[in-house]
Amino acid sequence: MATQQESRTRVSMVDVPVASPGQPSLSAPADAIVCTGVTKDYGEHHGVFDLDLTVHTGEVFGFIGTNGAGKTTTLRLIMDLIRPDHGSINVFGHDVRREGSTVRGWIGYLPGELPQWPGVTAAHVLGLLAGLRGGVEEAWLAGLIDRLRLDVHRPYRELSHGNKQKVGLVAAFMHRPDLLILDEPTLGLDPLMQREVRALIAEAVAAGATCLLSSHVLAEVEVVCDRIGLIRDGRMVRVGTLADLRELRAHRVTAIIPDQPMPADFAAVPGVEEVSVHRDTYACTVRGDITPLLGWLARHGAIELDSRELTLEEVFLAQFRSR
Amino acid sequence: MGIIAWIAGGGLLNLFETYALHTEMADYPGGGEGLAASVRGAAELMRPLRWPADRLDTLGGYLTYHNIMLFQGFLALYATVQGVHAIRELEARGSLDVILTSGRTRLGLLRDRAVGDLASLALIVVGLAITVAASLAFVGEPDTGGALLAMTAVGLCALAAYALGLAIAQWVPSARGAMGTAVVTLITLYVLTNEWENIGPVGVVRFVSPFHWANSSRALVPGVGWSAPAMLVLLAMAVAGVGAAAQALQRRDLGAVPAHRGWIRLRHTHPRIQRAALRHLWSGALLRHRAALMAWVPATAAFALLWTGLQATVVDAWNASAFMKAFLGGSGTSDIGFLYTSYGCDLVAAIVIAYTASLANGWVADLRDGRLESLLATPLTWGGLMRARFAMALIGVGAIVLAWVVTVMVVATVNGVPWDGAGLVRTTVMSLCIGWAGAALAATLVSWTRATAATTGIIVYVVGAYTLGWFVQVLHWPDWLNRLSVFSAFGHPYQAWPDLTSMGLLIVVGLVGSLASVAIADRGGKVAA
Repeated sequence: MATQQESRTRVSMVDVPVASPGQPSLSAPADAIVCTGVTKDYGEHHGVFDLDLTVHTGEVFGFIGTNGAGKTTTLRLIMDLIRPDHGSINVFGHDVRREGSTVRGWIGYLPGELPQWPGVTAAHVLGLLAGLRGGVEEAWLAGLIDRLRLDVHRPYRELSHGNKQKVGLVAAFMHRPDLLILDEPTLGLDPLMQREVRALIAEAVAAGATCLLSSHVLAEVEVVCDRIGLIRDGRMVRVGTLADLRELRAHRVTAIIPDQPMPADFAAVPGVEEVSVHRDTYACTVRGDITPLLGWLARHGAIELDSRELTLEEVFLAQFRSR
Repeated sequence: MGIIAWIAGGGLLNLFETYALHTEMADYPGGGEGLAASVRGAAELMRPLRWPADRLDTLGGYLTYHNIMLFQGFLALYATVQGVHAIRELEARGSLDVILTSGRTRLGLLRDRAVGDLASLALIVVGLAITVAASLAFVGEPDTGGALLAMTAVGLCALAAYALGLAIAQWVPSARGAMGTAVVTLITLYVLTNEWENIGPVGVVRFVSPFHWANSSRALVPGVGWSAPAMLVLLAMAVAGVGAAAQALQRRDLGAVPAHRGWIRLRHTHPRIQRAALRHLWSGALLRHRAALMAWVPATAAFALLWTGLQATVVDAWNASAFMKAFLGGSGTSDIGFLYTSYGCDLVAAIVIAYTASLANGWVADLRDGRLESLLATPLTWGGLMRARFAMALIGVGAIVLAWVVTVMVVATVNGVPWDGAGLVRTTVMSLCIGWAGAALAATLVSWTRATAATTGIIVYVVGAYTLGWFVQVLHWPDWLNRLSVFSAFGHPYQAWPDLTSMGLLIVVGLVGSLASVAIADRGGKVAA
């Protein structure tokens, strides 16, 4: 699996410069997005509540949560597509409500729910959105379309979900925005295209952009993001860097021990959790130093050993369950 | 809500009209016969809009002519729209494939939708029938059986219209295009049925029109009565329409028409994506809705052709009608041909308002289908969006009025009938004014309700305003009531500019509505709830 650094150093397949020479550069402050005490209450515990979120300029921030946790609501609040009941939201130091039009000029946005565009081609949709933004380079736009292998001359209505997602992605990237806000960017894409989208994000960030993306696929976030925020029931429950979160990591170890020692002895080994024993098959989760477990297995004559690191997804799911 | 609005609105209309007619027939010099004689000329003149007019000397005859046939036309139009929506709207929203993948068969879905819509229609028809019966009983001429049978024919006519909409929608790939095609087809059938005696061999088309068969069964009209064979024909038309729709739905791909072979050509070169026509929202939207506009423009031209072409046939009857002259607002010395063209120009207001109502429907769909979210995620503001919508509305209205004006000029010139250039200019200007006012009103309602209730609101207002005009005329209600009507504000621009108050009303509605629509929209979200 490609690491974040590998993704960021991937060479652009579009034969135009990554920098945007024609666009006025935004003298960006340290924080791209600052949400302070934001609440949007839809009733019956739906919405987001007292949300504090800061996305630093130049980073990729992954917004993680289960369906209905409040990810899309938060992104729409930042886009000023819906208004908070209270709290404030600033993008590059500008209030999104008072300076919404200016702010949206800096943002490339992929909505979570794809729109319907009956009666026109994908080219019409992209042409219209490019016209509304202005200053979109035709060569860059054509390059994006080629790169995502999109047939823009087909009627939009006839496109598959994945191809409609590509239209949304082209619309988000076409003006080389300073801030990308992407709601589930790889949803419905095949693995090759998922990799291409990750590369596009990495290239944009390498060129100075900031990215806030939401996902419920942690493996994807793990590859792309610098920091991750976990949202549950509309409240931010944890924010940290990948390194912070990797401290939570653990290994799942499975061993075959013909002598079948007492399971209680197995569970008493330092660092061992979540023990399961079935005949001669001993399995557990180990956090921290694995040496005591390896010593115990050697002493009891283990003949087979399998160990794998738990993904962040498994770690976070366990966290969600435990809460 | 729709069902209740139909029954409540129709019920009030029935009660008022029945009472008014009953009173008028009693008080009019010569009684019912005198009243019938006085309006016969006007009825002849209005033949394209409503026909036949039998036994206007009786309460049943007049009520059928005025109310039952009004319900027949509007309910058929409503049912046609429902028929188009039944399947195509689900496809436009992208929910048809979801429903089908849940295990529901296409035929099963079509059956369920048809049964649901049929139940709604049945409730409306029964509700209206009860109000007709109650109104007749209220004035001391009870005929419950007649009322039920009369409204049954109206219901069957609507059912046939529903099937027509359902069938046409399977052969037109977009919901909006299907809507335009079905509505134009139905209105054409309506007008041709009314005019069948004046159009030579083309008149045979009435036999495929549900209105012809519904008109053959008028239970409240003495000497005509109800007709079981006509009702059976209407039922057969409905069954045939639904059957044709089912056949087509079974054979076609989703989002396509039965003959469509799918998209097989892949292009690997990119012509420019960014085109001049897409640089502005109004021009992009106009491009996207060109098919719908292409339906409105020829339909208006066809109506103008029919209207102007019939002038020679009806002007003599008009000349003899003092009522019609008074209704048209001409002075005693006005030329009847001039008044005839003037009345046609007055009707452009109704077309323009109907067009703005259709735009309102599209604006609600923009919100519901997520297009608004995409558009307003760009630097575009609510103010910019509204300006683009008003520009598009005015261009559409301009195209419609131009179709009317050019057709009237050409047909009148060919027929050797004089026309007044200044009058046509005034009609164009006033149509743009009422188009702006209508669009502003529609935009305000859309911003406020964020639902198709906005369209319902506009339709209720327009029908109410139209009816009010008649009440003021027939029941001698105070003139100031007409000030609430857009039709009154529009005036008779072919004859003269409306007074300053009327012009002012349209301008105020346009101005206040434009500002209010932005202010209200800005307080709400840009995504569907």
